[in-house]
Amino acid sequence: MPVLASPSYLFAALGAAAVVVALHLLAWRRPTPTPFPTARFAPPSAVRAVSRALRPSDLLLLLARVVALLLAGLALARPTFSPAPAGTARVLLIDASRRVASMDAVRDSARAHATGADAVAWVRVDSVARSLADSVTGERADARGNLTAGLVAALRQAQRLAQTYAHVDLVVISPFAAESWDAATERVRREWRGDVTAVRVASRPDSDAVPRTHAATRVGEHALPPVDDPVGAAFTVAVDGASPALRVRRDAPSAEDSVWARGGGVLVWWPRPSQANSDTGTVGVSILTDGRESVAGHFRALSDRPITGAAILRWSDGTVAATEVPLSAGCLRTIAVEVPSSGDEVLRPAFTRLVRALAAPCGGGSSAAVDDATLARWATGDVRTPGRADSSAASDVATAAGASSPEASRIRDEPALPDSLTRWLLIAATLVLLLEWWMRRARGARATRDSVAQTDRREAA
Amino acid sequence: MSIPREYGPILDAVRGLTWPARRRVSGVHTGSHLSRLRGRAPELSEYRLYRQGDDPRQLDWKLLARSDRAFIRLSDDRAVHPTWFVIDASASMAFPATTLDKWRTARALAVGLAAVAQRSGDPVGAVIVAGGGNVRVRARTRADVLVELVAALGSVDPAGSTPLAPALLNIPERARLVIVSDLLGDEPVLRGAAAARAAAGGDLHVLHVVSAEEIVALAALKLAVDPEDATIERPLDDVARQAYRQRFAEWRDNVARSWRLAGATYREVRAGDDPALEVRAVTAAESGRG
Repeated sequence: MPVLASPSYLFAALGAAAVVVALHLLAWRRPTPTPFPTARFAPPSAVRAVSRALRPSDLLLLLARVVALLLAGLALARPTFSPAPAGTARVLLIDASRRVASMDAVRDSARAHATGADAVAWVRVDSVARSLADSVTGERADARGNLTAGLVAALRQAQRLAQTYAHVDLVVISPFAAESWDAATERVRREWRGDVTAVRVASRPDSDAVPRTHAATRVGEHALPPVDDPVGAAFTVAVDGASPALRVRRDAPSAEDSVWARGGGVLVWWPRPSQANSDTGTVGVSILTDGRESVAGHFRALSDRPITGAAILRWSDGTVAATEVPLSAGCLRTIAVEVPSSGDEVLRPAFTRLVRALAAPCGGGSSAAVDDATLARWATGDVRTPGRADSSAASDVATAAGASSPEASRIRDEPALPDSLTRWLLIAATLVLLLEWWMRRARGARATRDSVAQTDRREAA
Repeated sequence: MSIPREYGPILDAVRGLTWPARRRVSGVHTGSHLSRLRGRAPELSEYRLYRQGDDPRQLDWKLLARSDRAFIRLSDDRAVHPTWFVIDASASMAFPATTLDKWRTARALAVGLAAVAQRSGDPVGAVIVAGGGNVRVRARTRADVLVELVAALGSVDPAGSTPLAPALLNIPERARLVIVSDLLGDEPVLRGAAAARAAAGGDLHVLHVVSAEEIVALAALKLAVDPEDATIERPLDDVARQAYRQRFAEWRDNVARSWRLAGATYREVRAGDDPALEVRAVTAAESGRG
């Protein structure tokens, strides 16, 4: 049974064919000339008149045009004669980032979910994603995870399998560490209609010395704003001698700051609020959270929000409040939060802990994990805002995904490349158009010959 | 050779009609029209004093004896009036294509008027102007001139677009000239040449043959083509048809006025109408005038 990927093209071709038929019924024709001795007294005008006919004119020409249109429309509609998909396929996305406590647990869980499927596609992700030929997933990588990249690769595999199998399940086996999760993870999730089986495995705690990205972290070099600045006061209270080399800038960092940060320092750019900062989305009491620490206070989001880098601080609605961009051995952290200039909110313990986290060494990440509620929403496709909760104890919690509906397993975007049938249809349409052109040309030549012969006859008469 | 049956009704209808000349004719041979010459006719017209040079045989001797004055007797002579027909046989006369009413009417008019003239003793001649060449019938008074005329008309099929004016060159100047045409050819030139003849004292009659279809331009007619000029093609819708009717009527009025001003007896004849009535109308007009 042929299936049309874009039937609207065929409908458009049908409409165009109907227009062509109508034009053949309503055509400018040359009326039959009648000898009339006093014709000279009629006003001269164009010798043609529109007339309606019960039968279309130039049937062969009409047939060629309609066939060409329908062939082109059918080709653009991309018909396929592939057999009906059947069976179940499964795509296993395996997180092998540094936050995975045990790859053996991951492999066991993957094998358990692989059973019962007619086909299994393996995708491994740490900082990058790779499609695997078999279940050999390899060892854990010492890199921050990137679930988004893995999800993209998994969807690609699911797309391929959906052409053959009736159902495609997507299983994600990961500790779902907060550092592996970003806003794009949710956007990519929306591209998958069905549910996702999220299998949480144990997370590697911080005590296992997750290696810092930059070993050359310096200690004791602090350049902070003055204490009459609320940010300066907060950092003055938060940092101590064990804190890494730190520079906090209220104005745009200079080139010298950047060079300094590349030597292993933490450069924090906490812009001053501009006069035009009137973001009304975060008025009143707001909550800032970095996954481990949360603080509520009268904070406002700066209008110039950071757009690059990994999110290290979020508002309660999930929007990014601060990002971190690696700079060689160091990093640049951009904080888009306006703190109150009066009061002692910036000196309270909760805010101090938050500032201390912002002054932590670069690339440290955290052992925080996406909370179960957020993960459940994400797995079922109800993606709104990610929440985070401490996950000190890694648990093997499988967020229920349930059985995927048939539609859920389908990929939204069908392959756009025309197959051979489409190509042949386009070639056929082109040939018919060439035939139509030839017929028109032949008819014009015949009309010219008839006209000349008629003129000759008149002259002879 | 006999006259075809189609001319029977017209010949019967015009029997007994006379067609007097509009003016005194200048013919020498005795005929039925008043001559410009006065002479030896038995009917006395008037007396006139003898002048030197008059024919002494015309002296009224009895009156001379009684009055001792010399008078001569004058009387009106009668002469024949040669009648020439110029018959248009161009392609435009072959209309309507199915009935050829214009051509049939033109033929009947020519034969009817020729019969009237011939029966009055006038010589009758004709020039049929056709695309294949002019056909000429010599002017004669014999009865078989009608047969010759009918044969000439039967030998011609209307075609082409030959001008009529050159045909006038070989027609005697003072003859009665009858033009039977639809005047769609060289009408201005023809009128100019004919007007010169009228000014010279010749009788000039124009029978303008018009078809009823030409006047109304039926709605079935969508694209009109001039049979004498294929380059003239005119589509006819309702608006164009209305404009055509107006322009054709204006043209006919102008033509009638122009020919009358040129001294012609002009008459518009509808193709298909009874030609006998038209012949009667033409001859009666001249009789009344006489």
